[in-house]
Amino acid sequence: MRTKPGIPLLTGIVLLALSPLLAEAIIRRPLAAGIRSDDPTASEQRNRSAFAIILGNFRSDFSDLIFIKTERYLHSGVGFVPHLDTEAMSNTGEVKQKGAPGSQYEHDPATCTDPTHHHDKDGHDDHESTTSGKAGAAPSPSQVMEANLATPEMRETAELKPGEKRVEEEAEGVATIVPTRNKDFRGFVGDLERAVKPWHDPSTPHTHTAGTELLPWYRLATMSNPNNIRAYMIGAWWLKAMHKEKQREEAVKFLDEGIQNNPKAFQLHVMKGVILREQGKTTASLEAFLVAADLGLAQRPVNYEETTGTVASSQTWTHYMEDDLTAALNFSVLTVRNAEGLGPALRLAKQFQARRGDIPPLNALITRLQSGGGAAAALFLKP
Amino acid sequence: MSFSGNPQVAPAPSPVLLITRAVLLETMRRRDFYALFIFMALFLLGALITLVVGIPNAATATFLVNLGLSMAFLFAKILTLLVATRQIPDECEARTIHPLLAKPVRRWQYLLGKWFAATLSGTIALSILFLMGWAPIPHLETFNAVTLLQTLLLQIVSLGFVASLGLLFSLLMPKIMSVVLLAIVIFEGDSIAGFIRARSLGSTFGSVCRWVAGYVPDFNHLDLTRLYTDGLPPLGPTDLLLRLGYGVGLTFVYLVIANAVFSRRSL
Repeated sequence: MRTKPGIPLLTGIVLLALSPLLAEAIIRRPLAAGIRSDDPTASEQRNRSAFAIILGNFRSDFSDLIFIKTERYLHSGVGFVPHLDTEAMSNTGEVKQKGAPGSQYEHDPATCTDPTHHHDKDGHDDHESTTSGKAGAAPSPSQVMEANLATPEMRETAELKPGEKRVEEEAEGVATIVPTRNKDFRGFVGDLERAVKPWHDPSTPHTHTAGTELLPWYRLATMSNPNNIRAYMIGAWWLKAMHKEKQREEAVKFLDEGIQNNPKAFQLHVMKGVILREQGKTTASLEAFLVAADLGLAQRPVNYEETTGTVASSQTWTHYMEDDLTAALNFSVLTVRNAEGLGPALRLAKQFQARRGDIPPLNALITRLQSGGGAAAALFLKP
Repeated sequence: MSFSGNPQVAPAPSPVLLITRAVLLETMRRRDFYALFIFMALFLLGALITLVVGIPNAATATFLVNLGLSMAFLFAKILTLLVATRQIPDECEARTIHPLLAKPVRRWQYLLGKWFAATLSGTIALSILFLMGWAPIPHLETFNAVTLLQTLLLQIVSLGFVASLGLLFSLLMPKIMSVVLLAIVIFEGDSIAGFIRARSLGSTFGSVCRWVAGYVPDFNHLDLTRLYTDGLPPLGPTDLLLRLGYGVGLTFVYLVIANAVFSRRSL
């Protein structure tokens, strides 16, 4: 028996036509989830559980898999052991990087493709040196910020053109996932794996491919997970590293997309400001830095202890975020100083200080501005 | 013997309920649920081993709760998908649909019965799998019970949404293709929509593309698992109503369209 769908069908079609309104309304009201799941301390605790690791492998986020893939790509397909010392993990339960005892956050610069990680300086002292000028030949904040935006390896591979390779001389300490013959108990099976899979003897220099070839992977990673802030940051950095205006425009577009998907990610605003500054768009870059500073100051926990990188009230603030906030504050103040003079810059810095007085680099910057800027400060903000 | 009396005749059950019952029986006879049940049992076994060995910290316990819930919701969706997409093609192939529709059963009743059965199968599976994934893990951090109830409610809505899409897809394309396509929509719909939005950002037709992306079903809108395992409070009335409206509204829409397609289809 057939029925004649009339009014219900019409209603259905009208509702379907209007359904994107509901979808858009939901997207504009994002959930605040992530307090526990994205917490680095909780991640470390989870990594101590063998059961969690085994089961977690079944649902590894596609976006994270792509990130791992980029590391392999950079090493011509050879899987090098990433940041964790699994032996130490199994013995002590602590997550440590081989050859880098100390901070849990420190890891191997040779395998790190995250531009928000600071390997080429003394980690957290970078920003301190920018404002206090304690180093003998103090680098300009621009230089330091640039250094902080990427690992040395990223900067070196950024010079390569697609298809080119660079030989990494110092291969010490970077083990491959497939072990060497003398460390492999599997005998023939191990030989077979080394023969059929991309493999490289870790005792010999290994090669790096052009980092810009990774860009499609970061594009994929952000498509898979629009909340992958790290992929937006690194993708934008690689685009910026090509030193062409078109790519800088693309980088800004890429970051705008990231900001639209992650309105509270102040790191993206910092990166956007840096690129706009390179483009000579001072006003736009200042706007980006001010937004970053505003968001970052609002998010920074009250009792964050900079020296230890710990905080009692919240576990959502890492020292990388602290560095990014410092960058946002410095760039904001110094851009104003360059554009409008010392007085407005000092006023802005004091406004920041009034909101949060417990950020040592900001206090140091104010001291320097009050003393007239100093010789090193003359180097500030030369793109 | 007298036939003059007025014997008590039980009222005939609604065709919708009869069809629902038949589908539920058939689902129980099939092996889909048992296969998913075995997968979930593996998780349960692992969870029990962990309980014996001891969970090292609260973060790991919360992770396992999240994992158990995610698996339960995933398997319930897969079961609903399989049940919904095979109903009409299988009946057409076995020609059992002809005697059924020869009886005074309207096509919309037939479709509604199939939808209800697929949703109910998924909900029953969800209840069992949820208990297997949630109950055995110790809850070492604070969780909000109302958030859990909202999570379950939206998951049931999500199953109805899957069932309506499954019926529609099975009317439009071959069974295997409808299974594959629906699986892509369910599990990667948010990525597809995100891709469309990302590509169109800043372009001339950006807002048009963004609107078009809104037509791609996004089941992430109906998933509050992370909200629950992050220990967050429940959604406010507006947020909950928006999500319910999205799930229920689109379920209705796709059912109506499926009915329109089915009504015009010659069997």
